[in-house]
Amino acid sequence: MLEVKHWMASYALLLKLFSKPEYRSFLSVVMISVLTIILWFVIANEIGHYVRSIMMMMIFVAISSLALNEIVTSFTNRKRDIAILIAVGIWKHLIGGILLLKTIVYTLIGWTLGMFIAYLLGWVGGISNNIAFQQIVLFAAVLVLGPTIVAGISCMFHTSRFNVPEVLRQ
Amino acid sequence: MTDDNTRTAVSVRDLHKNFESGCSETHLFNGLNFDINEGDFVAITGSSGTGKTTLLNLIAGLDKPTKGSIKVLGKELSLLNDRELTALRAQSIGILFQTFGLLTDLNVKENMKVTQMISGKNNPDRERYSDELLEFFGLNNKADFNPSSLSVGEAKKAGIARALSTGPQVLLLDEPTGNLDPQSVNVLLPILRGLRHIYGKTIIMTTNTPRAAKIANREIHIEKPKIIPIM
Repeated sequence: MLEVKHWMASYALLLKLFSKPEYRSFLSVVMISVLTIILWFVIANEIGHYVRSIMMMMIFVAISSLALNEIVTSFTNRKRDIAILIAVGIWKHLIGGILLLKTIVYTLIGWTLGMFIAYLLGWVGGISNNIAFQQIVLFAAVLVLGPTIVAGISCMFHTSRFNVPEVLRQ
Repeated sequence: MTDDNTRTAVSVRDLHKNFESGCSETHLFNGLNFDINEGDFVAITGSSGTGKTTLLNLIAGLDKPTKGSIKVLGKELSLLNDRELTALRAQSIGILFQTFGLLTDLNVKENMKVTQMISGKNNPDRERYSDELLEFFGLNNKADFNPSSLSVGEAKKAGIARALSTGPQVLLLDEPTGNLDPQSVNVLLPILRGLRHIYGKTIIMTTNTPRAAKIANREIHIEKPKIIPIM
């Protein structure tokens, strides 16, 4: 039991190191929320099929770009810490995994907030909230899973190319 | 040199490392050979730019040689994959970086804890060992301090304590006395000497300071690199 407690305390330290809230991340969550709200009304309202598809695609690209930006900036801002941790013996893909997890959590927070606000807006403003459960599942798949895959590929690319001596020399 | 492989901590054979920069290529080491036995305290000396830090990086498996072989604790580094190299560093190698390498978002004690966690050696005994190390280095009242609030000398000591916290067999110290005032060097040198006697580690230290080199029981001097213009 004591061993488990120590193990958890150690991983909490790594999370503390990498999940320090930053202004950029806050903006990213706000942007994802806004885009989710827009997407909610694009889906809920009667818009032409092509216009709706194009808008959904644009919103998907925008959210994926935000997730991509989040993970790339995390790598850039934290490259000294990452280099030190790799040098003392932490597996680089574990660090990549933590940064990816952080990006997924931010995307999820933005998505949940956006869904909640969109529903409230629809309910208060009398705008159509005619979204089926299947559409919400599709919503989640597109807005959380999609950016996660994009960020995950970027994460693998960055971790495998990470040059510790070069970063420590700077 | 020794024939008994179990006693050899680090073995370097025909080492070459080449760097390309602009219109010239720098050839480091030029076929360097040496063996370091377990428990040795070796000073690697040479003027700036000879590749002392690069040699430590190569021994730690952080960089790859252009040619030649490096064996650490009997393991040929070129045969290990990335995960095995990482595990070797976590379990058996402690490193002090030239710029201390402390994580500035964690305090001194947390820096040690994170390293112990990485090596899988985070348990109550290790925590007691960390406290002992902090006491040995005179940092017990600075355990909760952020590394950025420490003096250069204290940060170096914290870096060495962090490197020792996992109980490594090989300790790599990159310029432990660099950028220190003479008073701090006077404090640090007996500590470095004590490390070998108290902890019995194999210590490889790069230094430019003749006084620091004298406390080692062996010196490996690195010659100036060859710089070859590229046509």
